[in-house]
Amino acid sequence: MADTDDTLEFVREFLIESTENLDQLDRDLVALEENPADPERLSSIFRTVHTIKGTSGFFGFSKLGAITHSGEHLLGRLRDGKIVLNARVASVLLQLVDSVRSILDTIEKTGSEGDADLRELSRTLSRVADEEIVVTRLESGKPVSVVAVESFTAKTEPRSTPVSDLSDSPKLPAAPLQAIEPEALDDSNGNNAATVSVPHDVVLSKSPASESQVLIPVQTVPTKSRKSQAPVADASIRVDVGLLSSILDLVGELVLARNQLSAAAGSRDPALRSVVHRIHTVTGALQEVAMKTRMQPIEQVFCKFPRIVRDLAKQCGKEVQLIIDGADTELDRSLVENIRDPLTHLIRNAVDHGIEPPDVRISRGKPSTGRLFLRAFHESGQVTVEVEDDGHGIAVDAVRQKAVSKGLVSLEAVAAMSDDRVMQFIFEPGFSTAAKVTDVSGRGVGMDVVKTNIESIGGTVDLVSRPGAGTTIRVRIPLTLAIIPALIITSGSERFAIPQAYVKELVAMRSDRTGPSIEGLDGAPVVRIRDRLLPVIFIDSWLGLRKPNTPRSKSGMVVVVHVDDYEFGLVVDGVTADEEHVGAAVETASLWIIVVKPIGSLLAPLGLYAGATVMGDGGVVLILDLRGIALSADVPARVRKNEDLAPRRIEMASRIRSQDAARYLVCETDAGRRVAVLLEHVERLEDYDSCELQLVAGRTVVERLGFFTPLTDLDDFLCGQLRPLESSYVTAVILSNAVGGGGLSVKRIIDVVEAESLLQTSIASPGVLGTLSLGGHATEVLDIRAVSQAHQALVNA
Amino acid sequence: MSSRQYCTFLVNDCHFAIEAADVAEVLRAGTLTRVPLASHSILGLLNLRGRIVPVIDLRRRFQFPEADPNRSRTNVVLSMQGEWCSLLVDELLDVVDIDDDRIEHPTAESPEPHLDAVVGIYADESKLVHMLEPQRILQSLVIHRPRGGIV
Repeated sequence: MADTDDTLEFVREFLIESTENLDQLDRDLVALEENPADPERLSSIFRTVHTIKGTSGFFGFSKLGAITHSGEHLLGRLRDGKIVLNARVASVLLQLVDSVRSILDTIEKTGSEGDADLRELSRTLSRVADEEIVVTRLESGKPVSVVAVESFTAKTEPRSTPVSDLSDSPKLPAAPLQAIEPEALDDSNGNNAATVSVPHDVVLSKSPASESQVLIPVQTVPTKSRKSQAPVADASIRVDVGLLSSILDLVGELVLARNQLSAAAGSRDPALRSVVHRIHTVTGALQEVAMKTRMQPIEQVFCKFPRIVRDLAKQCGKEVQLIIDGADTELDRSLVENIRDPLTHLIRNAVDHGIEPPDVRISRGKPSTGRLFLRAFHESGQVTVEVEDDGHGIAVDAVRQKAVSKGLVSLEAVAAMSDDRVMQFIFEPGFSTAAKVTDVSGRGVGMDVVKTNIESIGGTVDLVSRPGAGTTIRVRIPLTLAIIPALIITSGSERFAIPQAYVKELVAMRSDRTGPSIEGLDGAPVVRIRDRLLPVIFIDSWLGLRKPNTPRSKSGMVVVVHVDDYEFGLVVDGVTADEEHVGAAVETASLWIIVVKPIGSLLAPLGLYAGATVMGDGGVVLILDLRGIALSADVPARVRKNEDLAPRRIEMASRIRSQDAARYLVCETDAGRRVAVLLEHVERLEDYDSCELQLVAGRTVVERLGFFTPLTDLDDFLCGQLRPLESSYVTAVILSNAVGGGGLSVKRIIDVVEAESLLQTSIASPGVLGTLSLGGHATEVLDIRAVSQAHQALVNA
Repeated sequence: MSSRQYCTFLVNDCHFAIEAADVAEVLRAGTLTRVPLASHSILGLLNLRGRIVPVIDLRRRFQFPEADPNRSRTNVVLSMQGEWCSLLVDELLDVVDIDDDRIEHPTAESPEPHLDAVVGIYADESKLVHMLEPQRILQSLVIHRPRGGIV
């Protein structure tokens, strides 16, 4: 059983890898056609086919093995320079790629290779490989391949180009040779010899009637190969999408926890504050990077096009050069699939209808090869993709006429329309001449479908055409199709989204009123959270979701948000958990990744909603514009009002504090005594294992920075005893050098607290200065001089 | 004589027409998400294959009685220069050709502000067809920064 599972796993991996390799093969072969002498590409192609052959043998896929074997043979001849890659060789190799793909598909679906009969292909591969082709050179040094045909007649006056001596080849006549362009030929059946039966670089006639002539295509063969680019694959690795989703989820939870940490850390300890700040910064950066993993280069979509263009051009009898620019432009994963079909249709359209056949192009003074540009770039918050051809363009009047004849508009109406408006008819459903064209997968295509598809992801399509010169179609997809993490809150029976970036914390209000309470402060409700007063807005009342004067349930949640310079709370019924987070705590389960969609100019002026999103259940959820809501509820004014109140409170509090509000580190000793040390005397807090402690002259010391620091148990010290520490694990308060630099071992650190009362020195004992009220407890204050003196005595001893 | 194509429909037994060129598609009424504090005539938001489209209840817009909840209504989805909205009507009728010069334009401002969207009347055999201008339907629905309810 285990064996079968393993084998299945291996086969699955084989299929995935091979599919990727085949895609690469497509690209390589098309590129090789343009630069036939690129040795690195040739080697890469050979290796790929060789690998598939080897692995198929391992799994016992005999058909696959046989066909790749034939392919390998042909590739070997190519690699060794015995044959030169031309259109015919490339075609047959691409046929091989398609066959392999089809077999792999069958294996994936059925587990076996299927019934395809590949003998014909195999024979063709062998024939092409073994054809006796002589490679020779023109006098100019260009290598060409020569093959013989039966006979031909020249349609036009042949050009003459001198050819070097071929006389040593047994198959070629000894007569003087000239070059003729293949297109100028028809073979004896009246077919154009070059394209039909003689797809080789050079043709030699055996006919005794005409002089032997050699034909050379108008094509340059580079004498040195291009430096091959490192394949994109080397710069990236394959990662399971589920894994990335998990990372995004965890980062979302981290952000929420960070927000809570920021809130909880307060402003007490500068050391703590700086660590929290650092966590804040790093987490923010982590979230940005994690969101970027959703971005994919558009190359994923573009990579299939060279093959598509090549095949379609051949089919239509056209010559098209595809130039791709900006394949590294990135867009969100969810958009990449959505533009694949529309772009494919635009590309096919350009080749099929846009670019003229070579003879027509030449008669118009254009190069015979049409150029098709595919460009992608970022531009003012959008991704723009342009499909531009230098074909015959579209005349506005032709569109006018067609629109009328298709019954889309009346003659008079269209005469009154602007040129731009007329061009829009191209995108009308009834416009296309052909019966609804279907693509390979049976989906209907047409310019109207292109427009609908692009618009459904929030984009636009434009068309600009220059009659005789070409057409450019511009697809724009707004990048403000933003993806953000958000909380989904419920209020009344409605759901709303709050962008996580604004959320500071969630505070539950409990029906038994043990949570923070909402009080009225001069008529406007506020909530007290850890000594701060924040204005709150009851969302259900504010948005009119509940009838006034109906009793509100006592439980609910306050979402504390931070907008610009102020903070306030939104009172909601609850937050909705993302089901994927089942089992997690409420706060962390509530984060959703949502796509922001514009709400349109009709609703935007309300200033209450920043957009809307479509949830997994198809429902639409409005995203709250917190700034707008706050402004409409006068929150900034209320915050300022609260701040005016604050000084009064501080003033009250300060009366019960000492003039110099000193801060103390409060610890608990083993014996349970609460002892406070002035914070300014404390250098750091350390924990030590017994293995770090040493016994020197009857005292426990720890080595720090090259110095030995004596450690004393605080209880012992207070009792006047100085003896070695007994515990295996020590929490130590290291004092500053100004006070002797020794260490005090305590049971635990309680807190850093500001003094709330004056020091009462009447209750004193050795080592204790007096008593203070700290954190509501009576706390003994350590006599630091005594500590210092004791340590000094040690050193001197 | 120029004529244009119009989509015609019924709202509260009155005939209305809107230029077919502006109509993107027609579909049955579906689930809507309310938009609190928006105009009463905006019934809510519709999810149209991922696009979010506001739906305007023409009965409310023209201050007709509320719709019968048992009767299904139809969404006439408009697309104008990239902005989308949908008009909720009682019943969709045919697409017809109407000659421009057979449309009578009101000489005075309509006394009823909610009928400001009617820009012409076409008398056809037994009925009057009210010609609608979509932009006018929408203009009066825009509200700027309302103050919310009780705090």
